[in-house]
Amino acid sequence: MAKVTTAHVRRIEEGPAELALQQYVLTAIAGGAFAGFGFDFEGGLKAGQHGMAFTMARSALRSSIRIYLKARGQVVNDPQDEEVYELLRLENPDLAEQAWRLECENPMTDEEVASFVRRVQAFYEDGLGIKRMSPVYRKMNRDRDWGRMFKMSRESAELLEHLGVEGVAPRLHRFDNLMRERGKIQRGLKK
Amino acid sequence: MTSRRTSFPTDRIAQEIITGSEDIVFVSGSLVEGFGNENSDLDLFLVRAEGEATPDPRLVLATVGVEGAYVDYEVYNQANMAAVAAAINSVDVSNFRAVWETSLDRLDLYYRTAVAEPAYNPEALRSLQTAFDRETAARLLHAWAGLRSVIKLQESQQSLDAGQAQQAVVTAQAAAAYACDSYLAWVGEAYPNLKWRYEKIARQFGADSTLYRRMWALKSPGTRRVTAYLADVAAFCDEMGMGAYGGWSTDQLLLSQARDVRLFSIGQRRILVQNKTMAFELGAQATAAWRALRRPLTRPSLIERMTRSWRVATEEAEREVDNLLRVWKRYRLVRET
Repeated sequence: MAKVTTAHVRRIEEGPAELALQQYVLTAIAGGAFAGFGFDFEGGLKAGQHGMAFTMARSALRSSIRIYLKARGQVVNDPQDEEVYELLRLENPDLAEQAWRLECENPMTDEEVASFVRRVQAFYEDGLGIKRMSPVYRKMNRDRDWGRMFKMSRESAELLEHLGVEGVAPRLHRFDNLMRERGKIQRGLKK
Repeated sequence: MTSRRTSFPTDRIAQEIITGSEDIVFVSGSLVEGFGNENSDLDLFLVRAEGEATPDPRLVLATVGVEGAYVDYEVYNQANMAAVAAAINSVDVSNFRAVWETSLDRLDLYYRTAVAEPAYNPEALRSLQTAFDRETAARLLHAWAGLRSVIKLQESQQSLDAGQAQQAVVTAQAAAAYACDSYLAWVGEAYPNLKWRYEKIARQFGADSTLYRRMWALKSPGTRRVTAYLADVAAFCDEMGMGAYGGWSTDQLLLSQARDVRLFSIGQRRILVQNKTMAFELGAQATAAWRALRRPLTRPSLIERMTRSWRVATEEAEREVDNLLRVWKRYRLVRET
């Protein structure tokens, strides 16, 4: 028999708009974009495309800081590349120091690039905690995982739309079109 | 055609997404461009013969898993494609403002269409492609990246002068990268997906080339001092021919209030609210500057206005306006166009 507790309701500290924004960022962006980064790192390093792997690792480093800042309620809109380290410093000086060391690193050999990519990934997954933040992070191996991400993104967008927060997520009908299109293609391919 | 490309059942997918026999389905992107690897997805584009043009067609995008790989497909219609072709073809590359305001996403779609390979209705694709020209895309990308290189280099020096070393480094990195992208477009590497910068250099000049080694060394400061790094980047940009865009400067950009920000007055307090989520309190002088930006102004015009409004010396107004703009830009409260 399940144990009844008195903790039925917990007041959420964030305001509803901030909460919905965080959820949207964490599902749609952390889920989708970081799956893409992972594919690029792995594919690029295997194919000897170390230049692309480096470029995407640095892009992922900056993107992950943006996600962290949004999740912490420090920014609403994406700050430019040159501002992310200062904003991170205002939020967490230790993390900012680690991130800045990675930003300035200049790996020259293939091995150094591979090591750089791994350390960037470890920094944003564990240091910034992106892995823990998003329920769909690194689970984009199957089509149903993408479907789950879209569904969660839509749910967050519904709350954002209700609150009148604009320009962050696509309008709900876009999500609905997207999911309908995906479903149609999937059904067709399974015939 | 790469072996990776042929592993996708493009014909089957094309049959699933078309809505009529006049639709066009084409393949483009990194695999077609020759940069794909075993993790690359396939970029498939559907151009419907009919339907209203959507303002942001890229949102009609789906990723579907097909036999262990991913296919991204984007949906457009003939009106969307005609608008993209007209917009890009009409840009005069000597008109720096028009080049500056060109969307890279739009240029990317234009290029991808120009080099596309058919998956359904090849005759209609060939007809569509008559309005899309790879050379036009190359010329525009050359200028687009060149202007950004010049601006980033100026911003880098301004940041250094203001004692902001981190901003100076990051903007210098961007200046070098854009200079390289501009040069690569000029020699024919016009694919606007800039993540393939080094692979483009390797393809065009070889991974042992001087250009590859220079750019590879410039991608980060490493152990260099900031001033030395900025000097190296400036020399590189000069060698890449960025002097051609020397007439373009940050002072020509127009500043205006971001669309999602609104000023509220509560008693004596002035509060900026950004997208119903964040709030910033403004002092009296900042409020005057904010109100001045109801209409787009260049930085020099804003300084001139504030010199009069604040009744201070021009140098003081310049310093304070720059401090204000730095914070407003950091939080994206102002737009720069």
